Amino acid sequence: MAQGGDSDALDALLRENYDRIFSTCRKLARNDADADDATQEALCSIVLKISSFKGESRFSTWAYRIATNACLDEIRKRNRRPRLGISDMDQIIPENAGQSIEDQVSDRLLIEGALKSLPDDFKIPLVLRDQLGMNYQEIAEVLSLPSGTVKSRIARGRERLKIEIFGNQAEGRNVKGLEHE
Amino acid sequence: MNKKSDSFEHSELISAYLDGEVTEEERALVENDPVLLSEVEKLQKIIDVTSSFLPIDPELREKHLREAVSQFSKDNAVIPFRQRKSIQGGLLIAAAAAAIAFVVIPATDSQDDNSNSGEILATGFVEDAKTSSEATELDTDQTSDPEANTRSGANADSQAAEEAPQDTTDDQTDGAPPSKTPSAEVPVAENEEGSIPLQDEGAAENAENGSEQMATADMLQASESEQTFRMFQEATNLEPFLEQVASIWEIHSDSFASTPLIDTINLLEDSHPEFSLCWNRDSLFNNGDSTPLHLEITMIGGEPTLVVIFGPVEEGLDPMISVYQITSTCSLLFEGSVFEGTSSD
Repeated sequence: MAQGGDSDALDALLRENYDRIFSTCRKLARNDADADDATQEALCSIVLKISSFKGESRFSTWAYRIATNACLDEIRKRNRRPRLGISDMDQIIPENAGQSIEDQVSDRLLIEGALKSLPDDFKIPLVLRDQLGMNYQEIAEVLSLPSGTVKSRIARGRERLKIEIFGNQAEGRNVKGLEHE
Repeated sequence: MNKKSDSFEHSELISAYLDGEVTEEERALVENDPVLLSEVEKLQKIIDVTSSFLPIDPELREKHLREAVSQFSKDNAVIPFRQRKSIQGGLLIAAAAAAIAFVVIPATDSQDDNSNSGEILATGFVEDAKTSSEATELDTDQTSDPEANTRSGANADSQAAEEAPQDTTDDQTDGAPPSKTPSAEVPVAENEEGSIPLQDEGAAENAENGSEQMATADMLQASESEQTFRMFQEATNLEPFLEQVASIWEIHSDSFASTPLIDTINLLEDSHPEFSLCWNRDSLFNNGDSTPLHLEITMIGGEPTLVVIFGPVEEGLDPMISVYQITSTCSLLFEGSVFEGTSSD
């Protein structure tokens, strides 16, 4: 119906998949502004290309793929931009970094922060796996990488997260629910 | 097997196990090893967070959805978000005008331009070898028919361009793009075909006139740039401009097939040291995500500006045009898909 010009149907489709697309773009982007634009770009790409959806796969699978490419494209372009000016990195360093962790972050924020600090090579496949539920082969296709590389990068990304999280705890940061057992 | 590689293999195995991407044998291996299972538990806690959705601002959600759906409502002619965002300010207009002039006139003599109008300073174009060889087969009749050239596609255009007077410097004749001079008789804004003339019909005839022709080319360039600028100003949005660029891209596709040579990039950096201040060369040229196919320095508002065309990240995606000012501000002036502005299929 959406392909036939029914904007209500399109709205429903986008709404149904919005949360996942937003979360993906938010986790891939370096800051809120980038995530905002990337999400909008992803949604517009879906609308732009909806006439090419042939129904050979589930709509969500197709839409996530379109959205992922649009989101990554937006983020890649931003990564190419000049380094001068306000640093994006400034915005992702947690505020009050010198304060006690109990007062600053929940487990979620700590992990999200660690995820953000991951190099894109590890972060992107990891987010596509965990956030969109893509399997290794699907990720490999989207990122034009061998499936084995995807597998390896996801594992290494998680390993880095684990070291970051539990390493932080070893330095005295108390992380609720993530204590060594 | 040493301890480090053991550890890595375990990490990969645990990770794949959690993703359900293991064989039955590997699954059994994990589930029968208490050490591995404890690692699984740790990673699972992390995955619980990385796989969860982030809190969403309802207002932002509505804004995003409204924006996307509103584009669909306009007879299904979607104007991508970035394009709409880009429709702002005089700098954008100048950048777009420069970008289109740059595409129309891929290479000119930078020294001459520098000393004259300052409209276009062209460096760094790497001509595709195939285009170069094909150009030797030029039929001069083609160059004298601007309408035919406009329609004839990459080969004819490249061939005709190669026939144009050699008003370029030595380094440009070796691997530089064909020099194209604009047509003064077919103003951009008045072209009935709605496309920009790609060829100077008199160029071949003037090949023997040396410096006189160079001066004429400079004047014509300035003239075309002004016309392009005017046309763009008259347009209510970027769509006509981008349609023009898209048509030129298609016609020139053969010329945009190879990446710039390292020497070209070195030359660009040598001629404009500011370049290195603004850009991380590694990320621009070796990021592995997209390939710069065309680099060009143009002058916008008296400031050196870099125009880059990036090849599609993958088949089916659009090539991108980015225009950056490379002085102290290092600003992005314009960025968009070559095919943005064209209606949805």
